[in-house]
Amino acid sequence: MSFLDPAAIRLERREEQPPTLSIAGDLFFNVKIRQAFPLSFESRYITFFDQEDEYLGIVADPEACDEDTCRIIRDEIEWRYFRPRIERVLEMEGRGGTSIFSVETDRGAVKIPMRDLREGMMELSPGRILITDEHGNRYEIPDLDRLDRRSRRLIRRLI
Amino acid sequence: MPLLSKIPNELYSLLRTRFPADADKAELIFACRTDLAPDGRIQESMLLVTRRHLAVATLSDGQWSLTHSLPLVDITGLNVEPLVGASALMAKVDGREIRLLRYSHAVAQDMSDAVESLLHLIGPDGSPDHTEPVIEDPVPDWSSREAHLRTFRRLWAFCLPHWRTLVIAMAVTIVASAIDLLPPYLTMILVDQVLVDMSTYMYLPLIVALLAVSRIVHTGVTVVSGRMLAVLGDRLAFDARSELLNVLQLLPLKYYDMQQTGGLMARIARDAKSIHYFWIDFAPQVIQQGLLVIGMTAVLFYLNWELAFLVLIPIPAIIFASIHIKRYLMWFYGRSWDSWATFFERVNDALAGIRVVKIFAQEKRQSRDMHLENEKVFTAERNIHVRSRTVRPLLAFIVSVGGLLVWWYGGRQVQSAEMTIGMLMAFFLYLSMFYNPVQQLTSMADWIPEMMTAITRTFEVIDSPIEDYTPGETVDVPRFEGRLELQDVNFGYVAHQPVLKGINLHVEPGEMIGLVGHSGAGKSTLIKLMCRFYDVDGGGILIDGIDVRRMDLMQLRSQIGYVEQDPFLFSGSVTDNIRFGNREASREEIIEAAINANAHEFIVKLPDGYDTPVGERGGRLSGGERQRVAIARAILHDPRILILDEPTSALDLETEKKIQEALGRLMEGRTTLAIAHRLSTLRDADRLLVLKNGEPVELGTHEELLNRQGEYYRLVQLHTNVSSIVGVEG
Ligand SMILES: Nc1ncnc2c1ncn2[C@@H]1O[C@H](COP(=O)(O)OP(=O)(O)O)[C@@H](O)[C@H]1O
Ligand SMILES: [Mg+2]
Repeated sequence: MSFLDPAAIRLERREEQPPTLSIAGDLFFNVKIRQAFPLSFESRYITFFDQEDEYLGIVADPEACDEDTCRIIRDEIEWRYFRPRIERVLEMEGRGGTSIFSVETDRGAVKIPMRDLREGMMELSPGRILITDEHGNRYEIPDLDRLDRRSRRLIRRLI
Repeated sequence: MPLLSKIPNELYSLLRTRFPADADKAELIFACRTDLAPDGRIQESMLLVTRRHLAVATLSDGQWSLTHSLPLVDITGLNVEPLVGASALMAKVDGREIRLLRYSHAVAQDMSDAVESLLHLIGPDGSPDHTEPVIEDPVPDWSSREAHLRTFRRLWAFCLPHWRTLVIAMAVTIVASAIDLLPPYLTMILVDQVLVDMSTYMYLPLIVALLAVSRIVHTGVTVVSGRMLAVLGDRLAFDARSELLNVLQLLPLKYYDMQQTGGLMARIARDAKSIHYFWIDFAPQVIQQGLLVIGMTAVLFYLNWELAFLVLIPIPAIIFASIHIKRYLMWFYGRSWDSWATFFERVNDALAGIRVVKIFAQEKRQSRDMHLENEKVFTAERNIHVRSRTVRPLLAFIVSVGGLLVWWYGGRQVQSAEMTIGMLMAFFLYLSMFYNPVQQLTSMADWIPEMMTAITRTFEVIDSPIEDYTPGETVDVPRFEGRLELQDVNFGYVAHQPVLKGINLHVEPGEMIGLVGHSGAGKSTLIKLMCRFYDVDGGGILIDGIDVRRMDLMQLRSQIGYVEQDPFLFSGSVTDNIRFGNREASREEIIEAAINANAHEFIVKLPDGYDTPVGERGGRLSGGERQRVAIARAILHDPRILILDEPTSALDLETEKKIQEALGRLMEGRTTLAIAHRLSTLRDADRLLVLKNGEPVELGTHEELLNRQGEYYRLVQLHTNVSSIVGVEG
């Protein structure tokens, strides 16, 4: 059996510590949680690793776990994956070969410096754009059509 | 088109006189053109077969003569002898070998086909009487002169779906040229009638208004037709590129052997564009300028026929010159295209192999090489531009002679009051417009050749025969059992230079066969034949008792899995690569396959997991990782027959073990053909086939072959010795 049974696993955590996973009674401390498809299917396919970073298993549908486990998984994912979602593009200015976007994201306002627009902008699926800035930070526009008109125009010019 | 029509008449009558005895049977049933004379000169020659005779004819000093003629019944064998750089056709008569003719590699394929079809005509049991004359398969020859006509027809076929736009745009263009004729005429009226007489002064605003209107309408019309043609041109270029891209996937592997990828890319990028140029710039220009010239000539003659004649005087010179310039420049355009293609190839190569370059610290040399190519492009381009910049002003000078004549003759007419000033002005206005289109038409001579070559090349690719995906009658085999038979397989990449000779093998479903042999023994070639990248020259490959040539190619390949030595991954995500052979696979299936391939763990540890882009050719993954992704790809593909080209490079033991495990799972229950380098694989194989110079020398289990102390024994010894020296696992 390649996939773990959601009913057989349980996550617990003490304040601010990595969670503890029990798989059918076996306990693993300080587990790491990763998404198998962080870009294309975030809500499913969650993998677990022990503190030695040894692979423990994968759950196809974490929603089927109990409520606490489910919440911990979400928190851990939130913790591990930093990819602010852009909600508004305020302006774009060019400064000596670097373009700087001022944007508002779900994680706050930020200036994104980009050197190579062609390399840095990737359309994951129609309307869904992944932006990698010159430092390697990544930002996402989940749905271009949901942005306001001005933001859309600024982005459309580049892709 | 029967081949017979290609025989020169002279040769035909020569045949008739040489073989009067079988006059009624003199009918030619076969003819094949070759490129070398029997004595090795480069000279057109022909292999001819009538119902009774085989003959070789050679052209020398413009005269055809027969160098050989043999009765078919006397010939007991025909065979091809590979030479260096050429081949010879030999006939066996009375136990003697007779050298019939030689030919270069250019016609090797034709000749080996020819020999094949001739074999049943010769000897005492030959059956020439019942043979239909061989019908030539007309392979379009795009390089010939008549091909230009064909190119035009193809161009036309391309734009046929858009004929409405085309007709409207052309009509608009015609209107535009008609309007062009108006202003000088109005000017003449203005100067001669309106401005000289007080009573007609009131017409001034009217004439000016008319002039303005004609300018405005002209501008509008030009914009409209320009836009329409632009869209149409881009559309057609798009269509051409699409067709090219389609065809590029479907061509037989052989084609890619011969073509460098860079050349193909240059073709797609540049040549398809020329279809665009043709419709957007060239055709409308020719029509508009042509009409303008005709219209103006008419008006000039109407105004003053003597003067008009003088204007036309330089025209023959212009036409003559431009035709010659065209021919002259054509050659330089060919060179330019070649240099571009090599340039692209070089750059492409250098970029694709950048890691190798850096490892070997060859950046400098690579740069130098590329610069060299760049210089060649420069030279080729300069040759063209310098030459066309020289000839164009010369042409312009010829044209300007017309103007001098008008000044001289028209001036005298005005002096003697035979002509009004206004008319002379109109004449000059027309003349200034007359130069332009004539010059433009001639300068188009520059790029007619360039464009035509490019367009022709595009069609050359589009019209190349694609792989024969569904042979005449296909046998439907939706699911192989996996029984594999090689029956006396013979094959060579180059006609009659055999790489594989007489391979026989019978593999039961689920059995694993290891292929062993020196590098160059033909192991990879055998595998390519299995996948039908090439077809056997003799014998056959049968799966479940059915010849692979009778199967639908897609069906065949979809049931064969292939894990290459250095697997090629496509740029795209890990997911994309794993499901390459099975696009409908669910994520669960993808993960399952990855787990079985021992790839899952390393994949989910990547920051982007299965969504990680592997980079061009999988360059962002390590060799072992690439290997395992490729195995996952093969597992998901779920082939009935598995073909494995084991990597020769040593991986670390851990990875090695993981790959072995993964391969073990992959091979379970499938017929497997493995090019084996590892001792572990060799031991696990049910049987081993040892190849030497394309010939099977031993077949048996690892133990049996070791005990025999033959070729295999030597190979293993060599291998273990070498391994112990360089310290890789044995
Ligand atoms: N595409 C090709 N065109 C012409 N000759 C080839 C081609 N591929 C391989 N060969 C030749 O065929 C022979 C067998 O090659 P191959 O099957 O690759 O050997 P192996 O895999 O056993 O090392 C070699 O002499 C090689 O040079
Ligand atoms: Mg090989």
